[in-house]
Amino acid sequence: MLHVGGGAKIYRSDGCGTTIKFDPYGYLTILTGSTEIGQGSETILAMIACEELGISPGKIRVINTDTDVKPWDVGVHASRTSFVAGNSLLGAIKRLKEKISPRAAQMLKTDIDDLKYQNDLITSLKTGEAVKIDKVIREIHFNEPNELCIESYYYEPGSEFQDKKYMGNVSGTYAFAAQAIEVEVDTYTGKVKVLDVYVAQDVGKVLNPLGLSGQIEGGVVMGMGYALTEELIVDKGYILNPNFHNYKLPTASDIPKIHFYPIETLDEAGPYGAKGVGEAPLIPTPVAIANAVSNALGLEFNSLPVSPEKVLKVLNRVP
Amino acid sequence: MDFNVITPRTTEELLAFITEYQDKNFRFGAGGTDLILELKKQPQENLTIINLAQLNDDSFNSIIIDGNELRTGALVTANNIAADFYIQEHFPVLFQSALQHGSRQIRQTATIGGNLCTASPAGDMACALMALRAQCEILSAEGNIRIVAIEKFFTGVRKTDLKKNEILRSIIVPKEVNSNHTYSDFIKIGTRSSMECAIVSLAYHLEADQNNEIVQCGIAIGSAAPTIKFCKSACEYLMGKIFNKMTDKESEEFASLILEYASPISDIRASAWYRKQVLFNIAKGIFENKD
Repeated sequence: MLHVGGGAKIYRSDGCGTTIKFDPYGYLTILTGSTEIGQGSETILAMIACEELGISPGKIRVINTDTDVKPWDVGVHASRTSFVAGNSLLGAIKRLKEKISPRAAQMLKTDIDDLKYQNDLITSLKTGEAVKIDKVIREIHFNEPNELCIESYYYEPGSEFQDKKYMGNVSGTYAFAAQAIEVEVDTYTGKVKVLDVYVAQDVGKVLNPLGLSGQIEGGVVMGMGYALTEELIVDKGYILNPNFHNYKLPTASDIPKIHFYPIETLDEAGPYGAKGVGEAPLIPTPVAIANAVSNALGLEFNSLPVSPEKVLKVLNRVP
Repeated sequence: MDFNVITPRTTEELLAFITEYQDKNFRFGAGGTDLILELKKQPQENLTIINLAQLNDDSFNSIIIDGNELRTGALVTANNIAADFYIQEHFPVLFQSALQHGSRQIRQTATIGGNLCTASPAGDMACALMALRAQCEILSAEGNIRIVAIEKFFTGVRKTDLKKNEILRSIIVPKEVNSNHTYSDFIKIGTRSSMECAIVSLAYHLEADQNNEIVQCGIAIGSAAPTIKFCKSACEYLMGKIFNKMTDKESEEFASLILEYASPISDIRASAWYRKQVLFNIAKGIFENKD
């Protein structure tokens, strides 16, 4: 399976803006164009800022919901958020450090290449002398030339906008995945039980292992619903099951064992080598499930969902 | 959705309210899991709900095991039943029907009496109780009690034998005393493993002697007809048969008898064809791999 892995230009832009503000008490506010919908981008962005500025997570606030203040972003889709918002944040931090580092170097009487950002301090590697990062911010604010510690950056991936035939090198990077799924088919009821799901996926550099597993498991379960139970039933334009009572998502009791084998690579284009992971675990799942059912029964299924009724009809040669 | 709520604390208060509201539009509310959905779909004018949640009366609230019978108050919840070891051991069909009902949250509030009085053809515990030949103990506003066999209790889709001045107080399940083996289960067919309304269901409770000869038999099917159906001829067919020695031909004959009680509809959950086919399959499957 090949899918886009961040920076897919399905619109004219796949850009994401970031504004960051460092205050004189050492607290960082990240105003990101990206939106948190449960995929964990808020955590990823805070982790990136911790890594770059050496401050603790408790000193970081991510604002990703307020469109009055957020910069531009295309939206949460196409497995793009960590990729584009991460790159955008890195760009903003780089600019901010271009302001902070010279002042810190001046205070520590060293040069900017000698500085290390760690434990809320900026340290000279040569002398071991350190200055609190918030003190540097205050220096920038209060002493001439009196600047604000606010920077913005707009990241636009180098991918191409698709042509009129929807072709082109449209994505900033690509995700690759394979799944093997074992199912059990009840030939009396037509019910398919998913037993084991094996996921091998190129995830680039892992930024947050727990968040990554959550994305993979969530994707697989969503793919299971797509494969087995979810069906929008429409009659003459009317949706007959416009509720979760009859539009059936899998529940906790349907969840199989999900064995995830992250294939860690370093993606040149992504933040620290990371790439998008969200959709790739969903796409192979229904195909693998339908193929597993076909393999178990020796009969083909060419439409989704592979519902109990569909299975029983095929088994009983009922059209 | 707008309604008034009155909450009797004692049976005397309850009966007084029932008497007072005879000329008015009222409904009983127990767990509310069906009632609230119904009222959301079809709001009613000037409705009063007699809320039974705080009624303090053991006849309504307790599971009582008496030598030859199990007496379950109408306000006992599905979770109460699914946590009862005696029911698990002696009436697996009822235990399973409670355990497979809705979700844990729904089971926490849904009551066995509500499941009966809603009179849905897909009722889970109602189907199990039909297989157990339960009897319904009904209390009138005047304080009189009458007993109705569960088969007579359901009179149509969402219709029961209850009169306006009556309330279901408890459900009585007779227990076969001299039984060596109990074969009892609730088979519920849904698209997924929980949070389901049965596409079709089959409840069976069979008692066998020391030779595994079936001496007592109750079978009911749900979601297969306008009401839950007791499958009398299928029960008669099994009497005297050895449970673990049923031939394939006998199992299929038995399953065909079950189907005689099924007149399912096609709806968005499944077709009539699927319901019948599955019912046939799970009915014959009762006797498989049971050595």
